[in-house]
Amino acid sequence: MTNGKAIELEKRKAFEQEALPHMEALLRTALRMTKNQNDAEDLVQETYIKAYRFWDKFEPGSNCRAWLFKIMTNIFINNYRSKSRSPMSVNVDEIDDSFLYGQLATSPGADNPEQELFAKIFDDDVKKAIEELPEDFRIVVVLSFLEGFSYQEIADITDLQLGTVKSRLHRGRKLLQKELYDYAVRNGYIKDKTL
Amino acid sequence: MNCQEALDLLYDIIDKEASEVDVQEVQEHLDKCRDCFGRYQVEQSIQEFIQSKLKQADSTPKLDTLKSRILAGLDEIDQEESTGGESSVPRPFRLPTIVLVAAASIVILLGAAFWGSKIYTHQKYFIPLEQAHWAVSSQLASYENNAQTEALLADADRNYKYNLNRNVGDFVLLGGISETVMGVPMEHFVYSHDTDIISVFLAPASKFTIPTDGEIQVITRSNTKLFDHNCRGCRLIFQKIGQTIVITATTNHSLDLPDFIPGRSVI
Repeated sequence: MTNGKAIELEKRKAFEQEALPHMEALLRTALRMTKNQNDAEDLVQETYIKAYRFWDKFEPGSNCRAWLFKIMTNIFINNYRSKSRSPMSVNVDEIDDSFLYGQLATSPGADNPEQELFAKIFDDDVKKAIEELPEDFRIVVVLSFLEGFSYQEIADITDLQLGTVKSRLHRGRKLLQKELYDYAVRNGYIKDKTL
Repeated sequence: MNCQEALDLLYDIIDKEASEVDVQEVQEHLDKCRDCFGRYQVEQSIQEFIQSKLKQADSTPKLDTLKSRILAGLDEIDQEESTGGESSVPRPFRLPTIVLVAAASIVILLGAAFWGSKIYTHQKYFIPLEQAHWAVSSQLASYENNAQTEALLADADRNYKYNLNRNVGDFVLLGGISETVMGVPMEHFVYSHDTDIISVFLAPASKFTIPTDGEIQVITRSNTKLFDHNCRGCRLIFQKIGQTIVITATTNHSLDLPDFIPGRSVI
């Protein structure tokens, strides 16, 4: 075996050990980003191919998970995000902070109105609500809520300022609460008090 | 700490981003304030609820097939790199030509169907530039840095009043040719770094107008207005410098093309 081949094998082994275990996490985030199984799988595959090509740029010991998410977010933003960005139907700034709390706190009766509401909402409803968020908000919300990245890690992954990350997360949160509320009203789980 | 101060820290605390001191002070406030306590409690449970629902596995996780696809992709790269020093030759384009031709014809077909639409703009302006850029892969030899390139660089200086750099960041000028794109005579220079290629076209502003319709986004870098066309196949940046239109093109979306400044005006 030539020395070159031995180095190749070492590289492959290190890559498989360090990078491949993050596949499941990358895929679940890719699904929320692309909203579609095929695109999500393509996105994850592209991410790994690119990561492998640039593996020599990865600093051993640094955060491999964040590095992979940065590569994936980059490919998503450049190649996958929908070209026709639909204008937002609601003005986020008109939604109150702690929107759900405001709606639920005035519910008569129940001690924990939110728990009663949660019991009626399905897993897929929450995923759909996330997917309804405008892309800019959705990316930071998913990285935070689903992957548990810190504000600073999200800023590094998305190449955004820390303040922009916080503001998008805040606005994304409000929109998400509003969507869940509207969903619950539509399905008759709660009565709309904003009317 | 008053209620407003406590609520300002609400999401920082829920996201575990608040300092220990802040957490301590908020805790002291919540012990005394029933309203804030209620709000924190509800927000916390909403957060936990959303997170738990999000983390539920999707119904059709095809992890095994995805993993074998990825491993096959890695095998391909390993093979490329082990088949004798080919890695030193720039591998400009990642898609086989046939895919590109198919993609281009799909766009052309769509272009015919949506005459006058954004796709038509794409067909009219961007495909010819994209194709000229792609063509680099089959004609790499004609872009080698030689006497012709020297002459073209001198022409660029004289006719376009534009001085091209031989090195732009990690990219090195390979060479250039003169060609006609969309009926406009252009000088086409090629830069490479590892497997990436960037094309730079110089065109006279008297003969080429930067398209501003369709999928064009206006962005600003260092006080310069750039017209950015970013589609799935390629990315193009148009810029007017004096009487020269400078167009940069690449197929690798991860390159920061707007920051690639090939030269400067000599006016």
